[in-house]
Amino acid sequence: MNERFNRRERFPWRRLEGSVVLIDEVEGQLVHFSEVGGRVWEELDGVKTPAQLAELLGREFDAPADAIEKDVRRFIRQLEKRELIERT
Amino acid sequence: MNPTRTVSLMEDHDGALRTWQAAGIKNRILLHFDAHLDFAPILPSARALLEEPTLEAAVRRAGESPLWDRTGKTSGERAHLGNYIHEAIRAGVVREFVWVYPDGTEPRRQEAAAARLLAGLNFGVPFRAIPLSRLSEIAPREPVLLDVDADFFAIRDLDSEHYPLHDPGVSGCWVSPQELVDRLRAAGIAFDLATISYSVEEGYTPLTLKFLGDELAARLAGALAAERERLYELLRAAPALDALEDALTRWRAPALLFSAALHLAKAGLFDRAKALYEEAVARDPSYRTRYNHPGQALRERGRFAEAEPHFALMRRLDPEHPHYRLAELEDLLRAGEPARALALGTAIFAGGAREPELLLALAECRLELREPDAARTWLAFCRPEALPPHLLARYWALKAKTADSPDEALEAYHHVLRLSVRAPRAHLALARIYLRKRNFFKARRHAWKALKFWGAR
Repeated sequence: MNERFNRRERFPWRRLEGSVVLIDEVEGQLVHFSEVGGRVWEELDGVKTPAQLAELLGREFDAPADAIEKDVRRFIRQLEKRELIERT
Repeated sequence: MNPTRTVSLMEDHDGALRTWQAAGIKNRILLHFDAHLDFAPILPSARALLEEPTLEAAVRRAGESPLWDRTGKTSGERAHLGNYIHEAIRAGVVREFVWVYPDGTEPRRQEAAAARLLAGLNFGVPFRAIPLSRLSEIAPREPVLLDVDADFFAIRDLDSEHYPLHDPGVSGCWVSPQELVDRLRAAGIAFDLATISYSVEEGYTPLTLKFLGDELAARLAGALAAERERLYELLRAAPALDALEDALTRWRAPALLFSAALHLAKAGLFDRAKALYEEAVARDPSYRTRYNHPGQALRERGRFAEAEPHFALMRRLDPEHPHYRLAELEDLLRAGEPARALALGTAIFAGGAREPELLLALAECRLELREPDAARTWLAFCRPEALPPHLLARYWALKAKTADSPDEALEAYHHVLRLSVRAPRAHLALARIYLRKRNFFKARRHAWKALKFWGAR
């Protein structure tokens, strides 16, 4: 899985107290992610692969990349399912 | 005359808010003379949740309202003539709000009708609603913001079958601008800024009474010249044709010319009627508004049968009026005759009309005729950012139906959802698209919403 993903522009978001909060205006929902989820969201820039993201977060959170890569991929799948992100 | 008074005239009543804001006005008592409250809610902006200082505050605020604006526009950008007072209060322009409504033909019924309009509203500032006859009950200790809609003179009963429009069967005003000024004086009410709207454009004030706005402005600003006084007196008396024709030998005021033209047209004297109508329009082009008869507003409220005689009369007076012909086009579309509608629309377009309603109707004709490519061409002429809100949803629905790809259709339907509180058809279409895309999560969600909103219709 070397795909790259980008945040969809139509969702306004900001970091609030360590969480990322975004507005899904079509669904009428306020969505907020955990601290790690928020970091994944911020780094979904259409350039980094999930493996690179896991490596980056591994360094930030002092955890082995291969241990968190599975979680990153699962989180990205959820975001994709909800169409919050798109493949580049 | 108080030299510090300013009187500002405008067509749409939300111009009052712009006037107050341009003058930097804050924290004032608003005295609003209107047949309408102009306090429709402005939904809180979903994006504003992101401005909350903490996550807890954002989540709490999200739970405060079941409905959120999804257009991404600020409340100021969403202020219009039906809700600008809501925004004036939110923006701190108004700290106290008094709605003065017309004295109905039956006071108790009028009071009950006003109470129904006010039920459940929370103004967030001290508020009172009183009929004009009780104006002396309020005694503001400071100059107020005086805000008058000319439809106050034209619309009397708040529970009339025609409300919120005027009764097309009544041609005069129930109270005159002079009486209003006298009552203000008797109640000891002072003002430093008056805003007056004509409100012809949405069909509230009949064009034949538009002059009442001018008359009130002149009276509030100071004394009227004797000549003007006589002209307004004549116009207010809703004179018969011979009196109008006699007056036309002295004055060529658009209001006189237009009223005489209507009288002549109703009497079947179309040649003379047309000449006077054309002169009125030449002197004041606003007299060719699509709302120069009650038919347009009645159509917009779905009262097609009542509207038709008004249109029939005006079509004979101004056969090339693009909006009268556009109404005919929409009738053909509704009657399931897209080919005839297309022929008429093409002729209107060839005549130089470029109204967005026309372009959308032409796109719809092509779509009905199963020519999506041609429909897309018409839509390409429309700039969505320049379309008024009531046309925007129609534009995006047509965009979705003529989309080249599922993704394009998805994007367009998402615009429809942002503009509509309930849009079961859009949800159903989205469910179908997501099903084809094998996104069962989204397909299920939209199918459920389609069912839910269909049930609520």
